[in-house]
Amino acid sequence: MTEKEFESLLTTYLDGQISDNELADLDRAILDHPKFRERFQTEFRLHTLMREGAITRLELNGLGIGKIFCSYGGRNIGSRFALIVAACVVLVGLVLWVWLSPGRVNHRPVVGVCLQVSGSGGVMIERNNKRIVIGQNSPILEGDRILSGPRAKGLMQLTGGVILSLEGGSSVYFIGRTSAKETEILLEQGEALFEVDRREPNENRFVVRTPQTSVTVFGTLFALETQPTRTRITVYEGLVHFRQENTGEVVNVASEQYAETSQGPLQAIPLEALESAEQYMGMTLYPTDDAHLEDGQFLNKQHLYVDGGRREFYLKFRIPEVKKNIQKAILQLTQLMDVGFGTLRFYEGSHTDWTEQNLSVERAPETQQEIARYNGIVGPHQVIKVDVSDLIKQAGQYTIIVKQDPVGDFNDISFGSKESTLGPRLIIYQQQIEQQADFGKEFLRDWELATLGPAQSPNQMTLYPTDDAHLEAGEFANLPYLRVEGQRRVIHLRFDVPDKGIIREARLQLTQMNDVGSGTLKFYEGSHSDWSEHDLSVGRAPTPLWEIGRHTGVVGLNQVVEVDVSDLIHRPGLYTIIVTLDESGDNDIAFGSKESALCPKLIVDY
Amino acid sequence: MTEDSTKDSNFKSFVNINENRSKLLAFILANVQDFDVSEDLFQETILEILKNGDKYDSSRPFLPWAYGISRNIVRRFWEREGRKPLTMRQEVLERLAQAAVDTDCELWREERIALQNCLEKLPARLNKLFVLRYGYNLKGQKLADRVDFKVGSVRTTLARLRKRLRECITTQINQVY
Repeated sequence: MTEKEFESLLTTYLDGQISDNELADLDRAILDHPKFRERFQTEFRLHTLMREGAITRLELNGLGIGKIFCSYGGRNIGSRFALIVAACVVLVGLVLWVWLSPGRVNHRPVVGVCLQVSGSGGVMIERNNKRIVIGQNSPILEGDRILSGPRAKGLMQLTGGVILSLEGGSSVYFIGRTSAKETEILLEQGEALFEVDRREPNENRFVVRTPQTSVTVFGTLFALETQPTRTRITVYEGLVHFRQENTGEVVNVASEQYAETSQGPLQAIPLEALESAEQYMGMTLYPTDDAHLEDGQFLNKQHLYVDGGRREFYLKFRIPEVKKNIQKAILQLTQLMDVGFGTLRFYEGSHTDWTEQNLSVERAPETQQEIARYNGIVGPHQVIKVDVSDLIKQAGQYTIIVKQDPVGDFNDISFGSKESTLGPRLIIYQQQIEQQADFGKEFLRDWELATLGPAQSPNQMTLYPTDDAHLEAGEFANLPYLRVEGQRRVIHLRFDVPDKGIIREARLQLTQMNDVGSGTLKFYEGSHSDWSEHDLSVGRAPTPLWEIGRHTGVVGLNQVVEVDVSDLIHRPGLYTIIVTLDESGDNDIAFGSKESALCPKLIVDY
Repeated sequence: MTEDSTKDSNFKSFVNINENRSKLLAFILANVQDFDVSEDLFQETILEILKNGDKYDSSRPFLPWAYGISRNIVRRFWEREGRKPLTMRQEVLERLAQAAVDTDCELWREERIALQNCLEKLPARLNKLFVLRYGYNLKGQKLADRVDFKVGSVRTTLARLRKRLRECITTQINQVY
């Protein structure tokens, strides 16, 4: 049988319209030829995954599976859908039941499931010394480590009533049960938001550790951020015991408070300091109109609801003439009534010719381009912030439409409207604030200014690699230049970033030397930094994890290539950066190494 | 059988189903060759597995046992529907089903994630075809009518769609690692 004949049979088979004779031919080809067998497996795997992908997509589009099948297939599968839901409830119940029971199995039990991965770069699971990319519904086992890429977020549901939202560039290790009454996880680095069901004193305790602290949780919503030298906890609701391990200090941090290690005695501080710092130099505006759409009607109440395809809300702001250019605009929404999780999308509205009194389906603005997105949990009184600077650049009126991707039943979220005390706010920053790539960093800097004392002028530091080498013909070369070419030549750089304060920005500079060339240079985070330029070998070399930057174009004589690596380098520590060049013939580029006068530089702004 | 051991077996079954969902579905799909029917039978299989969790010997691999259960459910389905295929055809379908799932679990997981990204990049025309065929389960003349193609063109375009996604998946996986 020729390949063409086989492909034709395969297509007929996948269409579900294969005759008995054709089926026998297909069977024979697969039995006789390993390459046809492999081809069949690949294609059928894709066929199945496409079906799963299509169903997920339709669900996300809010079309409702039952309705779709009824209208197209003429089959009533509403009961089947109910059966699926019931089965899911039974299964989740089983997990919780078994988890809480003394007879729980001890062999790598499941401790949770991934609900959603968003952003770019992906989220990985490290299990049995192997890393696997995870997605929706991937189970999490005791002993797993989850790592999120610099721009990725992972939302997970853990047994025992815990929702965990892992921010980009973070790592969390699932320790599991350490005693009959205690479950632990370790936030090794980065930031995470936890929502934990309320616990009675005699119930199973949930403990989150960081390298410096432990947090015992009694049912709360809190954010934890850990860096190599310090940890900060912010509690939005409930109460936690926050313990600094090296000093043994313990403090109770309650709702609307935060605490941080390495700031003198451990103490709980009201969150207002953070809020006022955040708004410093900003102008706060409130919507002139707001309303939500529900079942074809616009409602002007104290709440603004989003609920999959069912409910969405509309905000209208009037931006006055400002003396200086608008550099940044941040929209803040505060949860009120219903908590939930998922993806909220913020769209530009097609017009502003509406008021909350006259809004109707006919005259409502339509969604234009998406301007911002929020993924994760929205807990009690939580304030979510999105950057809407792409839309709001000058004075005028603007409509913003907010929608939620469908996640499941009973997952609506409501925010305070302008008729409540927790209404939407738009904070406009003018030129005084330096342009920064990431609002999170600006927020952190403002917070730092407000809590650690008077403002300091930006401090810049130029760092040189502790080690650098390039891979060539299967060996690492430690020469005055670093050469990059397709898969054959790959540059490895290692930097030691000291703790001099909050890192605002980090840029890597490479200077051309010897060979000019062109193409796309890609910069990756290396999988580890346990190497030196003297002992680097193919076996122990770090491997690329996430892309953190790229440069496309010609690299000419003595040209400096600069990339922003702030996504990777935002806290002190050892870092490895791997540089590759997309293949294009014999094209290669060489840069000066630390053994030359044109040394690589890492410029860090504190 | 004690209460605790029942819980344990249910728990293990849950974990196993969760981890092998796609392969189990693929096995049934290859047997019945229809998305809707395979999903119905998949649900029946889950319930049967949970009901019989205590009969599963956890020292042995889970999937062959689960395939056995789903095979019986498929046979029961043919009998119930009164359209049992000829023995030879049934044997071939079962053999192909076994071949289809005889691959590494992690490959399925990686490809599922990569596919999500690839689907985002589909042009509108292919996207429509994808949703109609794989979401709404339309095929043959019905599908051709909806996209205003001839039946032969639909088949060719679907093959091209799968080829495009396959190439994209390979690129995505290679990029991540």
